[in-house]
Amino acid sequence: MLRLPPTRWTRPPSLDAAVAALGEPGARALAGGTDLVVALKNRTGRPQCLVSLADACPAGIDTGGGGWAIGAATTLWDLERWTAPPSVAAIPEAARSVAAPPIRSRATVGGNLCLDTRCVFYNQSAFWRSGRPPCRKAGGEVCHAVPGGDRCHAVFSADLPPALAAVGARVRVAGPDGERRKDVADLYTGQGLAPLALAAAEVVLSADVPALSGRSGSAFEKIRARRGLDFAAASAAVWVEAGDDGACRSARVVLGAVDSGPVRVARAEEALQGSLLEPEALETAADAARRAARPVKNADFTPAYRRKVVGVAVKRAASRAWQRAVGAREASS
Amino acid sequence: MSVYVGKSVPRRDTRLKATGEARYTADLALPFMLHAAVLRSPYPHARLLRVDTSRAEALPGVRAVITARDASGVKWGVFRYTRDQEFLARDRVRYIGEEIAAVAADTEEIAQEAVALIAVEYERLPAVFDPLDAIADGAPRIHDHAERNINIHVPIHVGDVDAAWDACDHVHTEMTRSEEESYFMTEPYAVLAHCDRQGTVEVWMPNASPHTKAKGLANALELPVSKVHVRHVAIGGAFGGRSDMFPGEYITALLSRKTRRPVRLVYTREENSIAVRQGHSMVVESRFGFKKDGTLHAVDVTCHMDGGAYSSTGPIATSVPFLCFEQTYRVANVRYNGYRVYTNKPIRGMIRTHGRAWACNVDMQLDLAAEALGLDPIEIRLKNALKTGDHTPTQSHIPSMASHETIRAVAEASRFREKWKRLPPWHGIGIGCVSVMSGFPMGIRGGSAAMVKFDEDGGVHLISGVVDNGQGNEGVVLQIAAEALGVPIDQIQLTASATEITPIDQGAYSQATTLVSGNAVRLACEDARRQLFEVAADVLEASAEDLELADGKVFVKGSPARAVPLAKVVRSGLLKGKSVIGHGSFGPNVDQRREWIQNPKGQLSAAFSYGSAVVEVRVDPETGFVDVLDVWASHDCGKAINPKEVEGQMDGGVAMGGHGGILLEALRWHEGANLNTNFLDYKIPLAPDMPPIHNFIVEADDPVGPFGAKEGGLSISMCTAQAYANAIAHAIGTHIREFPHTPDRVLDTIEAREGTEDEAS
Ligand SMILES: Cc1cc2nc3c(=O)[nH]c(=O)nc-3n(C[C@H](O)[C@H](O)[C@H](O)COP(=O)(O)OP(=O)(O)OC[C@H]3O[C@@H](n4cnc5c(N)ncnc54)[C@H](O)[C@@H]3O)c2cc1C
Ligand code: SF4
Repeated sequence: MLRLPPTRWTRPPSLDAAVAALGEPGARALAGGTDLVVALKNRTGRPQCLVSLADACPAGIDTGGGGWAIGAATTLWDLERWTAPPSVAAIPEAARSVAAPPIRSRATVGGNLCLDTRCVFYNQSAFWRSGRPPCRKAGGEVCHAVPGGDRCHAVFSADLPPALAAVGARVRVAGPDGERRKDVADLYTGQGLAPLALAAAEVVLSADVPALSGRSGSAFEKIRARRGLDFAAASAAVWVEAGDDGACRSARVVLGAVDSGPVRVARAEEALQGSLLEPEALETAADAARRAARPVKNADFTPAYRRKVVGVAVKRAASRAWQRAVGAREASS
Repeated sequence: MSVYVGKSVPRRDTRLKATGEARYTADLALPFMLHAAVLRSPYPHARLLRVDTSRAEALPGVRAVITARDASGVKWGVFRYTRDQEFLARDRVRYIGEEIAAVAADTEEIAQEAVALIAVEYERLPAVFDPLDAIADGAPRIHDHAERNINIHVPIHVGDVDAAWDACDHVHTEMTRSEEESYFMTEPYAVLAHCDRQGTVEVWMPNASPHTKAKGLANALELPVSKVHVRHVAIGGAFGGRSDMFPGEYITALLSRKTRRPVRLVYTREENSIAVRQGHSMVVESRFGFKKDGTLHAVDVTCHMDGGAYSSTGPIATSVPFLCFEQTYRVANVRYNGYRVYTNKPIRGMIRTHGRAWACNVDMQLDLAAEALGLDPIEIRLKNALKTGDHTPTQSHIPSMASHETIRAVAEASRFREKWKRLPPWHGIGIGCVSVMSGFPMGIRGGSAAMVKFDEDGGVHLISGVVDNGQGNEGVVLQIAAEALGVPIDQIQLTASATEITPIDQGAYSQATTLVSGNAVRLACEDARRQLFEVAADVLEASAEDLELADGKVFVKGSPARAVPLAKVVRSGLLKGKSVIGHGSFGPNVDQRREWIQNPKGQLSAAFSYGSAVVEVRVDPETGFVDVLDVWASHDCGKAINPKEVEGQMDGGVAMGGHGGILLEALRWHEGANLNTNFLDYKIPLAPDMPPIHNFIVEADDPVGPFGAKEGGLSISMCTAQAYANAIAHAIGTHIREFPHTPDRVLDTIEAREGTEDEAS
């Protein structure tokens, strides 16, 4: 069977100790391990030391301060059971769509936020990769997905980030220089090679979700091969807010799994704003999403198909979000 | 009235498997055991210029390194004329994953590290990955002996096909293609081998026929069969993919012989996917001709199967899709040209679904003909289905086959006729039928034998060559033995598989176990009963013919009070020097002159089962996803020895053949490298994906099978595939010619159809 490479392992007792340990060369954060352990077995990452964040990051959903702080160590199993208000319902919905229950019982929010990009030519065993030159993401100079291409197109396929970005969440990050906050969207570089905008030894502490207007709703829609288990072939998270006139006042539309980072689609948002989310508006938003998507041949299904269905995902997420917004408005009036 | 047969008694291994107590090969360990790892070719086609093992040998903890230099050079192939594979590549590698060298070391980590230290100099050769490319002019030649890379050609022609078209009112040609399926057994392949100092070899490994493994291994190791002992072990699935010999067992045995220590080799999931067996991908061209009344009159099929780098079970795999067709629908004129083609891909073997592009092509032709001739899909199948008393074109007599009953069962339960063409938009319903054989001629290894002996306390010990790789074969023979003897199941111990004890058995393939091994067990028990009655006749002062054995007691028929416990009968026998040992031997009535290529005619099998399925679907026209609303499956398995088991096989058949085979499963490739070798990337259906399944067991009581039983389950795996495909076609208004029907293909087909209206008229 595939064996783990010999790797040192530590479990620092505090955040400060963890940040210090992560400052050592070759150190890498370990949360639930559901992605990292596979990478170790495949030898795609070869850290010298794994630094467990078990005692460094908070777990659970903290309701202080007019919003919710979802601790990085919260498992997706717990997050999917959160009875979130309609405005942020996309979050547990996205959590529920990750992998399968046994994996979600270990997988964490922090690990999902910091998930590496994926590619069918990269997420393979060392044996598999030994038959061809290493690709860019593996330190080489070619790309097997887009021969002749000048960048890495590995797919950003974590499910929580689009949902968190759609509801305008921020992340709290700690590092050697202390703590800072930034928008979820700014956590990502959009680069297949190095998708995270984190400095060395920085860890994500929590995702901070704002309390949003009672007239808003959000939803996450994921297209995947199997209901039981699969990464997204395309996904969309949509947040919409109803105005006093009954029309959509503001909207945020974020795509997943169709590029190397989450993709916010301003054109789609414009199409929804001012509309009643009637079919024409949804279709215009879907078209904008299709144009914004940049799938290549390195995940489930053909790129053309993923482009088509990311539009469908936007329509469905938007409709569901709208129902939630309108339903919430009716409930609150 | 049967007491044990026909009851859904829990299997003996259920609790062990559920609690994790069952021991599979990778769980076994022996004192002083070493661990093995294999060096495999990362290239699809290359000459081996130099294999330097010196650095691996020098690594501390390494106990042996072997290459082709250490191997006997005996080649493997199921038939004398298909021996084309050396277990360690000598001068050329032909697929990614082919075995080049192997290491035995103190730990698995050291063994894997050592493998990485073996230096191989390759000369890359041009490679070919598609069967049609491989037979084209100028294609790289993969084996010196195979002109145009054709490995196997099965030619069959019965009647006069060319002359028959004129008599047909509807003639239509279809071309279908399917990608390879993979088995994804839960248990990855593993071998534990121990060559002791007396020169015997003990081996544990998941397998479908311990006796075939023992013989193949004995040949390769150049030992008599008596020196190779294949042992009993829990097995986590086979589905056709454990049927023949693999390099793994030879390599492990050789390492053990060299080190004189036990050696264990455990494959990775990837190795299990690429270096054991895969299903064949294929391109099928068919021409079907029907008369006005719907009678199928002529069929001409040419199929090109991608066989991968070596022969394996080639001639069988090339024939079975055709055979399943000719048993299902009657046709007077038929021609089949099956080509199995060498390519630089992993080796292909038998798989439970036997070619979805083949089977679905047939039922697509039936639906298209029904449409053209103004019949409904049920009518055209009832008209053409073979039934009891018929003969197949290649001259098998069908002793019993409740084809019509299975078709009616699913048609009625699903209310097919009410729904056909009357469902809401994007809904569809479809039917598929298939007949499967219970065994085929396998020469000296085509039969089975069993023995039954008794303990002094009346305990029963059954010895049978039967192998259980998950489907419940051990439970089946236990139920048969209990019934035939009249002794509760709990009182019977079974010794199975272990080759130095059990008699030769055909193994768990070709769907023969229940019929062949089951009959041998039944005969052994009947023989034992006769002997017990002779002994008991004295004790009870009655004539042996008047005795009965039930519930572990021998008694006089009609006066159950005149009874004596089995233990007492056994002891009375022993006192007289008569140890009761029952013996049963069974060979099915098949034509042993039948040969896959040279002589494809004569009685193929002793029994033929039938399965029909109806599937109702709703297609999402925006995404191409298929929602399966209901599956109705009906199976003439002769007699369900254990109905729950048969239902389990039927459910599994729907999952593997239907849901997996038609909606999800396909191997993906990049220049001969398999892209989806793990459970995430290869899409087998999972529990939340499965539809509601309604099973109907039809018991037509086979005249030959033990208590009327024959094959159980494979029919459903195949016919649901056909029903899934037809239901989707009904929903979207056209058939999809590529398998599986993944959402991207479904959506493309819907979009291509919009405007073109190809066949809906
Ligand atoms: C079969 C299978 C299916 C899957 N399906 C999905 C799916 O559908 N959708 C999906 O989104 N994911 C999926 N995953 C990936 C993974 O399980 C999840 O993304 C999970 O949430 C990762 O969390 P973890 O705690 O296990 O992360 P780990 O594996 O421990 O870590 C993942 C990465 O994040 C880094 N990291 C972890 N925590 C922090 C932190 N607090 N600060 C900084 N860096 C950190 C690690 O260094 C590592 O690089 C799947 C995985 C498997 C094996
Ligand atoms: S997109 Fe290209 S460079 Fe990036 S991981 Fe895939 S093959 Fe490698």
